[in-house]
Amino acid sequence: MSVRPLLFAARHCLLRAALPTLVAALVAGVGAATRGEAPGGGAGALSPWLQLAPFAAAVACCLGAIEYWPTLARGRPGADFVVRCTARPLHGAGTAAAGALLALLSLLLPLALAASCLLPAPHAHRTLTATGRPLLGNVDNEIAFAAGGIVADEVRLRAVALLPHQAPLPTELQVLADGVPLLTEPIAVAASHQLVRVPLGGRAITTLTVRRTAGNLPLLFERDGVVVVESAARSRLCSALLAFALYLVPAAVALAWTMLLGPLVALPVALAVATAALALLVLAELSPAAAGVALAARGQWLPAEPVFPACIPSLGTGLAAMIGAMLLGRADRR
Amino acid sequence: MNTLSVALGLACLGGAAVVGGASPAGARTELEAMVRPIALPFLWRSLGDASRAGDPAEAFAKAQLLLEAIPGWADGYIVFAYRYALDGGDVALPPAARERAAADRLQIGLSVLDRARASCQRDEIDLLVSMSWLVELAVRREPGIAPLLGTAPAVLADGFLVAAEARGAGRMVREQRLFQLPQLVAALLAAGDRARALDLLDEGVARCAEVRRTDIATEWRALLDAVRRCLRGDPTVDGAALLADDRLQPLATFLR
Repeated sequence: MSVRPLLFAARHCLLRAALPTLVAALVAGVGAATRGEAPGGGAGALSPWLQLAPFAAAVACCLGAIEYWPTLARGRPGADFVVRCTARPLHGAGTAAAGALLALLSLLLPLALAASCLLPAPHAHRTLTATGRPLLGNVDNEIAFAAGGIVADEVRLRAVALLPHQAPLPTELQVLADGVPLLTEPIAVAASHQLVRVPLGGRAITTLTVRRTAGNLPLLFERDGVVVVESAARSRLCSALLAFALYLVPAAVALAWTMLLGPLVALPVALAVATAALALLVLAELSPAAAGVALAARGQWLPAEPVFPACIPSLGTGLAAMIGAMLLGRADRR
Repeated sequence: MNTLSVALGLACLGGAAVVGGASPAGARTELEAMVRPIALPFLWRSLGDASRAGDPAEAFAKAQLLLEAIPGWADGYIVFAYRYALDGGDVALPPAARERAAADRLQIGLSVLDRARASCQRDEIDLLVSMSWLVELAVRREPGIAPLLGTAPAVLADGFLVAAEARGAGRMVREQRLFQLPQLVAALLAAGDRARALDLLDEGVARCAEVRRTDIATEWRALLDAVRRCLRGDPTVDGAALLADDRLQPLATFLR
């Protein structure tokens, strides 16, 4: 990949995307500041607003690259010349796509910097696994979870309530850290996914025990049923950067699909393909870009979350599209 | 050529706006209609995620964003406000902090429902009735919030029903107010507003004629009349019988 075309493509995309991104950021800023519900909901409530600008930047960069490079749509002026001049199967479209991603990254950096001021300090959230059956019911009145000496500020319980055989009575729980009760009096759980926050005050815990003291509602602690929030605060800027950088994934996949389909269709259709692919990947959460920002807005430390492995399926489809585009490009050159 | 085309297009658009009588409100409606199909799936997903993994305040904030996109959906406002005000608390908090948080959630829930009245005008009565019930249920769930509300819960709840009645609410609301009269009278007496409490009892006795079931109407009228006379110091009223009635327990301290 040559550097100059890459930089030219990046510059073109940056110029095209800067204004839409700025407008989206301003709209998001005004929206988040003027809406009444955001302060009550904490930073987590800001996540829809935080997604506007990176999404606009991703769309604008992708469209800029398609418009810039002649082989990314059919019948563009200069396309034949580029095909004759470039011996590679993608005819430089890969370089243009890389330039678009570089431009997107350079737009995401200031956005992440600005967003980091709004985000809470991130803490790693560790999911605990039960040592036995994760069900508080007729058989077990107590479940133990191995915590491995985590120094934590808080335990969050979120159980699924099942129907008992008798008339349902809320289950009262006591939580113990290494055998020491954490609550002055048991707390009642009466519904599924009811969030129970138990403060730990920065103590190291090896075993966490949830004990039923009264009631008959069976409680199932699924995969994320017991989460411990670590005491150590991580870098806010790093969290914002990682969250926003996830927008590179849907942009890369959308460009890969355009590389495959673009040479078969006219420019407006190629632009529509890229926009639709991006919207689908982000809005339908086929890639974890939106989830990453939401987690960062909730104060969760992204490297401790499964968002990065979740990129693999969408990147896989992008890779497949790119291989398909290479094969088509090679056949085209013959 | 491009500039000319764009200028011509803009001129045509402007002309169409003038001829069609476009207004900023109309433009906003059109814009919202265009954005809604794009935003709704994202907002739903975001709300689902917040309900599953976030805290209740975040879920409620996202529900409000969603409801902005579906402005006439009164049931949605009611469901999300109830869920937040009644179930959104942190049960592990100390009692005083829990009560303060419950009172704050109730006020937020009520303010959201009150705001929704503007966008759900066809369902305004339902919203007012649901606001009244929300107060009752929140106080029942967390009795300690009553002194934090600034107004007696019964008075607050009745205020919403009065507003609903003024907007033409039907028999259900009128009967609800009639059968909740002891709580309201007790709240007024506790606040020292004896004259208004007695006026309300007079009105309640008169309103019993509207109750469709005559046996219930007769019994309730007799009970309210006895309370009225007892409060006015009539020595012939059997106070012990009134105190034995469960429905009059809110008034027990004033009937002794």
